[in-house]
Amino acid sequence: MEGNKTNSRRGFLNVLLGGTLATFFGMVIYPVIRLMEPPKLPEADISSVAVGKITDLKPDQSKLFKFGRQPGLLIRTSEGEFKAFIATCTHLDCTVQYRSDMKIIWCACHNGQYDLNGLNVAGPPPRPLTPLEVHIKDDAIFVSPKA
Amino acid sequence: MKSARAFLILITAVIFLISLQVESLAQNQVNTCIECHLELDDELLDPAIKFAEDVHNKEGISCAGCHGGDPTEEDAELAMSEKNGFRAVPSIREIPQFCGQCHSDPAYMRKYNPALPTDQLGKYWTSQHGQKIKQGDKNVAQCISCHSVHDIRKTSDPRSPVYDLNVPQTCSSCHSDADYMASYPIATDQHADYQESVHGIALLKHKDTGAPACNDCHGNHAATPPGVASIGRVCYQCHLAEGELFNVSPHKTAFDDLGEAECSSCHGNHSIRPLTDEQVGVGDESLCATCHSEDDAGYEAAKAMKQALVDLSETYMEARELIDEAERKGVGVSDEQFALLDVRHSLINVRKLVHAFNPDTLISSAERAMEAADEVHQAGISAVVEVKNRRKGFILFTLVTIVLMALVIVKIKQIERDKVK
Repeated sequence: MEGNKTNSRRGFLNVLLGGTLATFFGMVIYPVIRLMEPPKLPEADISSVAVGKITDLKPDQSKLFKFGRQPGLLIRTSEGEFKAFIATCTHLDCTVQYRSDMKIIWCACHNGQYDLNGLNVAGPPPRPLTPLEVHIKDDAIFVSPKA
Repeated sequence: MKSARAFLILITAVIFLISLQVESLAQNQVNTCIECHLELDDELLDPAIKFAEDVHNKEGISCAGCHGGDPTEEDAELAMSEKNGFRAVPSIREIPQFCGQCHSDPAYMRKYNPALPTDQLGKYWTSQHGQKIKQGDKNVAQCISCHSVHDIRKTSDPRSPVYDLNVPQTCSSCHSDADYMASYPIATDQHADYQESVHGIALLKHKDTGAPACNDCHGNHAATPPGVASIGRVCYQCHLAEGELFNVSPHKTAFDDLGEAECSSCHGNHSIRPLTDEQVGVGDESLCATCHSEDDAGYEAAKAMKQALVDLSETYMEARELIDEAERKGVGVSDEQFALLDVRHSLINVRKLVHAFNPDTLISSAERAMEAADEVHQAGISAVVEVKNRRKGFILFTLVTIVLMALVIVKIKQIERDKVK
């Protein structure tokens, strides 16, 4: 009678131990498997990007810069004002450029044209460019998403 | 004095009330045209139902705005009398002028939409449709063939037959009808070709309203085939860089001398297919080999240009696959993706350079682009190696952990056995 009680207690403990071990292995192996094929995460929001110094750009010049995964376009207009946009054409995702001779933002792929406010004014682009905010601190230029 | 002021106030109040009443009556004015036609059948009922949606009705222009007559008159004969300026259904030939009486009048149109062009009628008379209608052809398109009638909508309204996405279907309703077009010496397969073309797929499948429909190349009110001399100009509206390169290339003079149309001679017109590098060179799909054969310089030039294109394109595609794979597997590759964008643009520009038909220029540009492509490709390989190293590390760690656990269990059991002994 005493022996039966001991056996049943030992069996119960073994099940408990086995279950705990299986859980432990699961806890180790599952994250490892998940790390092999991680889920696609959305890009983290960018708060601000340092683009350079004011003196880097003369009036009527522009500069492409990295804004997260996307290209950004910083323009210093002939009046000296700084403007920035996501430099991806809203037609077929080509990178746009500033044409100082025409005072427009131009896409070489299909001759799409935007004015210096980013508004699509000619060609196939269906929407304006995404504008960015330009902040000047001392001599440095920072660009951030438009609030 | 007091009584005179009171009288003046009374008169003013009466005039004010009368003017309110008149305005109210005008606003609730009955349109007897609609009232009567709603009682009729078929083609006489149809306009009365459809007109509720018509842009003219919404702007306050009633039936009488076009047809004349007196819409306040209860008696049908009087309402539609010549004395009241009634004009019945215009003939096909009269329709352009019928619409044009208002739409060609800037002063009149300014009241409704100052931005709306008023040159449609003038352009129409220059079109193939306008020319033929002048000659008495009653089958050709006039205003209502494309804009509909009594339910005319703004061109920006997706329900309008001339909304960007609907234009090909509207044109094809006549131009694809072989029986209807039998008396005209033109093909009827344009819409079928267009649907399968790169432009048709962009517009109709991807709803890219920037892609050209029929009217973007042929004109709308002045619709006419562009012709050999101006076809390039039509394409250069969007394909500017290709046009600039072509116009200073040796092909420009050759095409002019042969009387060949610029773009369409190689690319076709309604059936322009998505371009591939295989269309350059001398292979089965080559466009160059249509004219050039083994014994001319153009043949060798085409071969050399294709090789440079294929090398760059393959390196770009491989780099993209590597970087995509690395990103999918959790490695941060935003710098590499940014660099890849540059390579993509270089590839696009090198492909455009084909239109200069100068292998030296193309190959030197391709070589420069290839340096950047190789760098990105190498970065892609490194990123994938990084993924593999991380995997190996995880597998090793897991194995070591499992072995360690197994040893711990064995050791515990051994200690228990020793205790029993």
